[in-house]
Amino acid sequence: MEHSDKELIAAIKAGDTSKMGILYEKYNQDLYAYFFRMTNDRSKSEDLVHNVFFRMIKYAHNFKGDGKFVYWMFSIARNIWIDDYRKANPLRNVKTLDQIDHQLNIGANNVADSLEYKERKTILKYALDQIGPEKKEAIVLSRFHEMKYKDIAILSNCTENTIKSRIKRGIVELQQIVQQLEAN
Amino acid sequence: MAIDHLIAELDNYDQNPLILEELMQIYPDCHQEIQATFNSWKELELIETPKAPERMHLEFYKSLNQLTQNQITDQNTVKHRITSPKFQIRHLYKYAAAILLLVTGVYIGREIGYKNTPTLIANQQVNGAETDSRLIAINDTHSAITRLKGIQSTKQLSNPNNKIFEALNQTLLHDPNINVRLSAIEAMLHFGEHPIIREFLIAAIPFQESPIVQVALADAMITLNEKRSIEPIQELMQKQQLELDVKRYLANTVKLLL
Repeated sequence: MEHSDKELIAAIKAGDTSKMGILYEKYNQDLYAYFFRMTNDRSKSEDLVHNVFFRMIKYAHNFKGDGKFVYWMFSIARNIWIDDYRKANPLRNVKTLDQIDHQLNIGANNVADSLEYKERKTILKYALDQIGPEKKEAIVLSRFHEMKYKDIAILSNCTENTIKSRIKRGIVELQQIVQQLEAN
Repeated sequence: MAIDHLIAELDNYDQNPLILEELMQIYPDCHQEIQATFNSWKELELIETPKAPERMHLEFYKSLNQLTQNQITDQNTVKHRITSPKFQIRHLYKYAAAILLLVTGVYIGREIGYKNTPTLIANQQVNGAETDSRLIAINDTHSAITRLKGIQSTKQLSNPNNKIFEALNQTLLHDPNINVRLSAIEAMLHFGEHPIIREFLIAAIPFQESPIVQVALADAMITLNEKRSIEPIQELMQKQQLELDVKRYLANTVKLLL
């Protein structure tokens, strides 16, 4: 018999942690792709995926069941990624993702000269990695995880208009970086 | 303005793939800008989706198993507290009533549900000298945690019989839950000095389809230094649908066993 996500999380809440295996089978690939796109680090992405599932076991009681399970899961994933980013960059004393945006953009122009770009997809992947994390995340969730703007907004604790703005600015930046790389 | 409109509409692109043409008509002066932005958004699909590696799954299930088993131990500790002499008598009445209800429910459930179900897994009850073990029919209508408990309890037996071994083998071959199958392998390894257990583990190799269980069996063969497993491992490696990572792992296992 197939259980819904909500039924599974209820079972986990009641102490049957083995049910997390079913949710893992269903969502591990989605989460791995999300983390890999955000961190560009395979090994770290594996650890972060594990953290999400074990944090879901720990905080299963926080899932109220009034929203989609997948958004709750991604909100945990997002917090884990932000925590990890801050830990990895302690000297930057990052307080908000806007500041991360700014710092990453400064570096983006300098790296281009050192790499060769032969394939369009390589160029695109590199360009996507260079845009600020807030914009990149909005694009990744919308384009690769098929989330609606309103759901990304809830996840990111901001308005739908903010998400549209991030996607627009992200695509503009992406175009600029691609043009710059092609010119080299 | 045109780009804002385009970005807003991309949220529903699946429902309205003609949006590009529509916007071109609404904003005739912005053709180039709209097309370029749309192309950048569309082109992102060229970026490949990375696939999660097999080792990630293996590590996850190892940790989940560990957590589940710790919980079983914790539950047993609670059980120990309840049965201790310090347990206050005033609680006994309500627990007795609850247990009576539970036993009645289990009895009715068995009468109704288990007439035609196969025995899949062993649980054991120790009678005095640990020699009298009995099989309790458990199928996948029981929770995975109950099945895991059954498997873990077999490890407490100092002198298990062939019925226990056969039940573990059936679990390894047929249980639908990966965690439970992994736990069965672990319990079988505990009895690895028994020839029949080794036979069962070796014979199970070609029939496993889960990459995690395949890798766990390979590990078991290394632990037991079981050279007779080389042939079935090689047989498994011939399967076309085998994950590449697993194939490499198995090849390495064969090298270690040779």
